[in-house]
Amino acid sequence: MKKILIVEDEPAYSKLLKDQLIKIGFAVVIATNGKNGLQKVITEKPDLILLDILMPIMDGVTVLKKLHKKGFDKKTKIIILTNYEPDERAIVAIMESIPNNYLVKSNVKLDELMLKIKKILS
Amino acid sequence: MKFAIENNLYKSIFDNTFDGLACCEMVFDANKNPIDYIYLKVNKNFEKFTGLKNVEGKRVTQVIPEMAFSNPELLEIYGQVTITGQPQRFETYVKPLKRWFLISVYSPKKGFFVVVFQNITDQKIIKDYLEDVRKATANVLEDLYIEKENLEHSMAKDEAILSSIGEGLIAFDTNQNVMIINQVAQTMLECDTKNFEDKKFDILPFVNEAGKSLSLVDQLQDVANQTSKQSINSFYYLVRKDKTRISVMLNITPIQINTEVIGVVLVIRDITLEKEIDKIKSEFLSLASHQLRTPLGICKWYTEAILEDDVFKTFSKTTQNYLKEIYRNNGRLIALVSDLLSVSCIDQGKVPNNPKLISVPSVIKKTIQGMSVLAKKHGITLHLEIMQTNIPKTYLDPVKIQEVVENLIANAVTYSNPSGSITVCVNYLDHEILISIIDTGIGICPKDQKNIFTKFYRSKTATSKNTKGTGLGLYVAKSYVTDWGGQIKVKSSLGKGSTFIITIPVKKEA
Repeated sequence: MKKILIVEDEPAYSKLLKDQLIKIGFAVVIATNGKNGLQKVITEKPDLILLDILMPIMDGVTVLKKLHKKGFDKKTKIIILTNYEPDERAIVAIMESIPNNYLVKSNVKLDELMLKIKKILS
Repeated sequence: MKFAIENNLYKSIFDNTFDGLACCEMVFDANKNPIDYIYLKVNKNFEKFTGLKNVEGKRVTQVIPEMAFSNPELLEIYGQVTITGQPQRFETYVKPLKRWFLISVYSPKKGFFVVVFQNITDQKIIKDYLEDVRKATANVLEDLYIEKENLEHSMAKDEAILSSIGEGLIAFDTNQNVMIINQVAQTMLECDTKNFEDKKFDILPFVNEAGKSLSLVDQLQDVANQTSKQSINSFYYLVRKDKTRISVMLNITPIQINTEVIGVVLVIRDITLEKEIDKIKSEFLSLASHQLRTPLGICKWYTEAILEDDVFKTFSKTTQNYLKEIYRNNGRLIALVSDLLSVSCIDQGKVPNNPKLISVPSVIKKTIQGMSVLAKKHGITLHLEIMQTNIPKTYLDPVKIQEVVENLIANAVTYSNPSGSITVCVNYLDHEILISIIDTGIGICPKDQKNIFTKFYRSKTATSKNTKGTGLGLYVAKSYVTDWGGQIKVKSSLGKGSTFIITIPVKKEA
């Protein structure tokens, strides 16, 4: 069973995502901030990370940089799932590296997201 | 013998004196009022000065009949002199002769008088001329005085303006000498006027973002090469003596007389506060959009989860409609936040742009596929016509062009009647890609056509047909298209439909 790590500080999002992902047959782990997320990448070895940007303790951009430094981004698939408009230089750079995987939560439909996840992990 | 000699001497004096001479006898009426006089003897100069000939033995009223009206004072004065014996001297203008005379008159014997006179017409003319010159000079001097006063007022006003404006201002001549520097500029540059007098400047304490200093010589060269009076606006840092930096906007304008550049004016505006406000605004916007989108996004997904769940079908029709309504309106809020965010980014010049080499027809084809569901729902047919097979690829942000076309199609759907049709045409002409969105809808009245691209503008027909628009869609579309160097235009007639035409120049490089 493929494992998905949700790095998200907003419990309403992570709870719904967890329910929906379990329903379509994935194992789900949740981290509530970037630092906790990084630890779980090492301990849980997920196949896919759903990463928020604006989070307490450590933000998503720092997490991405650290994952890149450790080479995790080559082994693990990443989807940025945020409500941040990509207008900051750092985020534009991320978008360009994974152009199809930068999603604005309020602009994406839940069923489309599930299909995308299935496709990535198939 | 002695008498003969004396007589000849007097005659010679009489004839050769430089003055005009006339011996006359006064004629009185019964009341002893002088009414005429008779020329007894006149000399040569009399004729020369008056132009009158053969007057001896004649009455003045015979010789100059108009005299009684033109110079009545003469008879009066001569009469007085004849009666009283008191000599008189005066100047007068004899109109019939058109001459000025300086006249001395005395009476050698009661009832007789002698007039000694000079023709002073030329002196008079010169005197009058000199008087005119004097008056003219006085007028000029007065004008000059007024001008000087005006100039002093104007200078005082200019000085007051220069010292009261919030910006620093320095004027340099072409030799880099300071002509004018106001107080603000002195404070900014930490110097006083004395430091500038007779001092040449080349390097000023301004550096650009790349760290290069502002060279006055280069700037003067730049403005000298310009034929127009264009000013240059540039962002610089002012480096203070303590090495701290202040963000400033420099405006450099040439001072020109006709086409010759005689110097430059440098206006320094401290924009530290504006920069700070911009930063705060941008941060607030980013945070606000995130904070607004989080709960909206949560509502969206939870509602979607219910709408997609099997349990949804077990709800009553009313409950199902309630849920759909919640979902639809939540979607409107999300769209509104997105539009506000776009407008704010446009206003701040921070529109993210990721141009890629794309085929515009392919992107539009995909967009139309996505929009066909919406059109079908409203009973409207949506066609695509690609007019040419070899439309070149161009560098353009695919997300943005899709957003613009989606926006225009969504408008066409909203303002069309059921069973209407929308045609999207893509063409290529003169290195430009043309996209036309043609609908058979309600149309836009001419007054609204001018304003529909204005931020938050909503036409009356638009508000009556669709109460839900934000008035931002076309503003955003126009901003994007203008940013690409293109144009967006509308042609419309009420009741017949509208055509929106976008032209985008093809770019071969990003």
